[in-house]
Amino acid sequence: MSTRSLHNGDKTPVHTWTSISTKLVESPDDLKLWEQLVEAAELNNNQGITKASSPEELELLRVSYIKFLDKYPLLFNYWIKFAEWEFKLGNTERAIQIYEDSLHHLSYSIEIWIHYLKFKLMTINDNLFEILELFERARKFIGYHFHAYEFYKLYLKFLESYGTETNEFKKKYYILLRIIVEIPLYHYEYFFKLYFDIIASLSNEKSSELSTYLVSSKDLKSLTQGTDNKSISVYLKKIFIDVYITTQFKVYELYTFEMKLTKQYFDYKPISIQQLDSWVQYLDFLQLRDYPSEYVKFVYNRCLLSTALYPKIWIKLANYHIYRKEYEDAETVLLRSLSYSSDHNLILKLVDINLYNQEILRARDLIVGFIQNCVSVPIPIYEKLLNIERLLHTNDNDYIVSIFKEVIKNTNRNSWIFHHLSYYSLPNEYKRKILEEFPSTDRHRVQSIESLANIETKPDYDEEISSYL
Amino acid sequence: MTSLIFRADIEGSTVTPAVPEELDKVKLLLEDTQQNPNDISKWDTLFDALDEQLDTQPKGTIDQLKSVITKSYQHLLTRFPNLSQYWKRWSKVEGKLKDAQASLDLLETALDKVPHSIELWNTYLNALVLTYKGEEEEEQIRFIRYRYEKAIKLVGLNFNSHSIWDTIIQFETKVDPQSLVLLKVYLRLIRYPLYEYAQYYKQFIEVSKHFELQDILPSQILTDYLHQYNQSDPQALSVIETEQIIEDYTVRIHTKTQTEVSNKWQFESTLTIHEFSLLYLNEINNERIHWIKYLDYEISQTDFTVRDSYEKLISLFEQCLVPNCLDGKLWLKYIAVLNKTTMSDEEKFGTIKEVYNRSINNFVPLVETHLRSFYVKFLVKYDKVELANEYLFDLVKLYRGSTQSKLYLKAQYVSVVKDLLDLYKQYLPTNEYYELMEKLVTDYFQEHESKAKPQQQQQQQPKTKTNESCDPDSAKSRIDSSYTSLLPQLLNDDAIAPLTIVYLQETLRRKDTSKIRRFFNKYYKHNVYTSSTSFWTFYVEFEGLVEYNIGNLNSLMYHIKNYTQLPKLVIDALIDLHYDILNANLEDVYRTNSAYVLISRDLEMDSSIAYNHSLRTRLANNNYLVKEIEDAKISKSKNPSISTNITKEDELVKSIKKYVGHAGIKVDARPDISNKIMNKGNWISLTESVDPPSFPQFKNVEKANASINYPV
Repeated sequence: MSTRSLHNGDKTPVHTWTSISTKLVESPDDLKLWEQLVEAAELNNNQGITKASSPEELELLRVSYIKFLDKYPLLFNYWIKFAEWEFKLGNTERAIQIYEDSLHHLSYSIEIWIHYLKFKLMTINDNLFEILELFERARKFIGYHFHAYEFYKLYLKFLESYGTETNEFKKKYYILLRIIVEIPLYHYEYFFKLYFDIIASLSNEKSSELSTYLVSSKDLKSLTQGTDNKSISVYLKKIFIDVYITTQFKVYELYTFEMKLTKQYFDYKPISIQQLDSWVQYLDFLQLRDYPSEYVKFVYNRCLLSTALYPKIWIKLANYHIYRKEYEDAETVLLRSLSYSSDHNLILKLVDINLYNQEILRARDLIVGFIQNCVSVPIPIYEKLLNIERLLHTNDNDYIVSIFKEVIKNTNRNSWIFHHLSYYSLPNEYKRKILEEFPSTDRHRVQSIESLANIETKPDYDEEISSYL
Repeated sequence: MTSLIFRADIEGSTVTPAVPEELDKVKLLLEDTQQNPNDISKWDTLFDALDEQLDTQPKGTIDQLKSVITKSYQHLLTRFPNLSQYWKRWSKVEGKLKDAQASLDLLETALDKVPHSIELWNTYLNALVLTYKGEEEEEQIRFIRYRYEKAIKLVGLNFNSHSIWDTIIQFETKVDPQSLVLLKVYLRLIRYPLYEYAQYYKQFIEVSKHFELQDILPSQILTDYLHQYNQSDPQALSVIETEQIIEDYTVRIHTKTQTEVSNKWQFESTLTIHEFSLLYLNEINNERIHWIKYLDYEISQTDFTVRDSYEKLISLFEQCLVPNCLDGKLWLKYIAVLNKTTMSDEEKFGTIKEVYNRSINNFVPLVETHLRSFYVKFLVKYDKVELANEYLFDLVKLYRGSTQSKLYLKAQYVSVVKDLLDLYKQYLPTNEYYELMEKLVTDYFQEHESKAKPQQQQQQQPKTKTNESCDPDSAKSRIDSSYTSLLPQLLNDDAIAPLTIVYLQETLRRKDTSKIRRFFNKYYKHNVYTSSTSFWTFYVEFEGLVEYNIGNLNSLMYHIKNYTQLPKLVIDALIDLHYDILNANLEDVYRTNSAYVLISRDLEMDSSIAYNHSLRTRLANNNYLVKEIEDAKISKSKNPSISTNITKEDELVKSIKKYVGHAGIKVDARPDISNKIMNKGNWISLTESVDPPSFPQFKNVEKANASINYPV
């Protein structure tokens, strides 16, 4: 078997894979072809891939996945499948690397995290603390997910199963549960039931160990109604019924929004306006209701998992950061967005932030870079270029005139650029230099600006009435 | 229906007739029509009741009833003169009340008012012809002919005028079936493209048999024909030759008519409504587009230098404007057509003026200002400046409304005020005009302030005009100063903003920028400007696009965003403009420390109150509920100076929160935990050795299950 090479296989060589890859050269944006390519590599001419497959065949599988994920990094299923392949092939380290790579794009994906953690649990050895750290890392990203039930269940089970005398997992189990019950989750009932069972069991406990897991030492001191387990149990029950009411109230509120989010996964199909609106309303609601900013940011990122191709949402998140005066975060968000969308509005927003920070040359580089990589440059990009050039050559009026002329020649959008010209505090004689060189049917704007101080001519009656003919 | 407002509604000039006590039922119905003058079903009920009363009424009180009847019909038909059905109905009642002659007289009055209604002409002519008893009554015959000639002139070209032609033919046949007059009627008729053209042609062939060649052919054409047959005397032609000539001549006419009819038919067939009706306003509106196609076609066929040609077009317009009489744009189209003709100036002025007057006074509702505005321009064109001034003055007064009617047409009012100022700009000497504008604006504020602080009245002497005699173009003055001095009384709050813009533009033309800024500093907080789009746009453009004063522009925009009451769309457009201007002048942006505008544009245009800061402030500053809460607080607190905008905003956000998630239903309190683990800084990391979190502290848990107050 190992002698079989890629291109001289026995009956049917990897013909399908090669033919698909040839087709891909012609149409590199065909997702279906890409999927077929990966499938072909997996099928390996119906022989499948096993540990015994040749290095070339394995390489082919890896190359297919890597190239595919390079192009479609948001298709989380493929990351998982890829990692599972490596696991199947016995390459644990590689599988871990794939999961870690996937997190560059999908750190807010609950599916990735659950598979990653399950995988880690499957390959558990003496690295309990490492896995705990990974769980905690995951919790930072997906802990507020409305559907985090599976994650928390996994986490609790991990703490429950691997608790030892020394690692405090048992205590952490109770504290984690205590944390969870405050979070509005779709399956909130499940966790409350666990917690209330524990509270109930406290009254039958002899030792005070459990109570120290449930009540902080400070609170324990301040308890007035007695510190025996029974009294504590009664008191806790009372308190956590109120927590239950509060969480339930929030879950109900959020559910009215959550139920409208029918597409929470990423694919290349367009997202309906209603769906986008639902997200926007949800986000506004959370902000108005004073959800902590970490929570709001998480929902933004959760939203972007499915809407990454929509610049509107990226810009909204950037605006959210700007509102909170987190300018660096806004910039990071926009830089992230550029991996998924080449919409010029994202560049413009990024340029604006750079201009705000007085990073003028960087702003200019962004614009110039965009123009160089763009077949038909949108007018606003040219406008921004003119803005920056004007700033860099403030006193050189002739220079800006020459740039204006060049832009008009490139775009043939004379009227539009004339309109733009009116924003500049350039002396009128320079403006006229530009106006006079290029014809335009609509000099209206510039003229009207110039003539704000002149008497405009009224159309005559005959002319006006004949428009009714 | 709300747009059907007429002069009478504002002036309240319709007089409700006195109704005798025994006619209580009628009285109620009458009031009903006065209150809903546009609802024809109310009128129908009233007229039915009046008819009934008329039949049962004892002779004694008939005079009072008569007056009620007359006034009711008058009221309706002054309002909608084109309701020919009601003219007919009224004339029947008149016939009952008095005699046939009275009924006929009434129809004549109707025809004066609505000269282009086929239906009215038809009824009238039928009734008129009945008065001819078939004897040799020269006088009577002449009168009838005189009347029907008028009908032919006005509606004879109407595609559906066959009923009228039939009556005429019937009458002439009765007078003398072989008279030349009848032949002449036919000779005209066969040239007209009418629905029944084929019928008339057939009849004409029959009738023409009784006549000589020279009766049928005009002499010039006859001579040409004789020439062809090498004859000089028609008597010398054989019978066959005569018939050939007549046939050739008439077939030519007929073919031409036929072509015209088939051309017209493609349009005429789409039109089903030929009379005005309040019940079919929608249908009339739907047919409008067909009318326009038809008119455009006929316009393209018309030679505006030939009277016959354009008169056909005029007749078509009159026909169209019977059902479409409320439509100002179609009237303007008609006027445009008249304006294009080559009538003599004098005739043109007279004709067009008549059409303007007819449309404005009788038909087109007051909301339509285009037509009225064009009338002014028309008067100015013919150098009737004084007339234009008077007319506009009257309109301003009218639109300003009267306390009696409680009707005020704001948009229309502002529009005619602008027209009036335009007129003054053209016909007052420049300096005088400028001074007038300045005076109007400043007087307005002085009056306003003097109302607030009456003790200052003494100081406010109007400025004495200087240099008036030196004005180089004082000869231009065509406006009587008695009007301009009356003007302040006609200007209300809504007129001040447009007036100000005119004044400021004029000041800008004089390059007096410091005066423009002084004016702003003095009055920008005034109520009349807080919601004036043109006022703020002017200043943004002035500072941003004329002066390029970025500092001023920034403070201006700050005020606009936080304090004005402009529509959000307008503010968004200004924010966009602000952004564009700042980007074009980045050096000034850094100099004035206003780079935040570069990144806040989207934020401030967002409609989410959650993070659009200025939107929130603006709403907070203008929300009356917030103001009430604020006022209550201030009156309670000992130190009113503590109150700031921040608390106003908080109040607004607080009240919005009560509704968020379910618009319209207020939920006062929601359960929450104030020391949530989710809160910033409360994160518990399980990788470290930790203590359980402290007990939660609750807010409003007891209210979680409180019943919700649904709005009733």
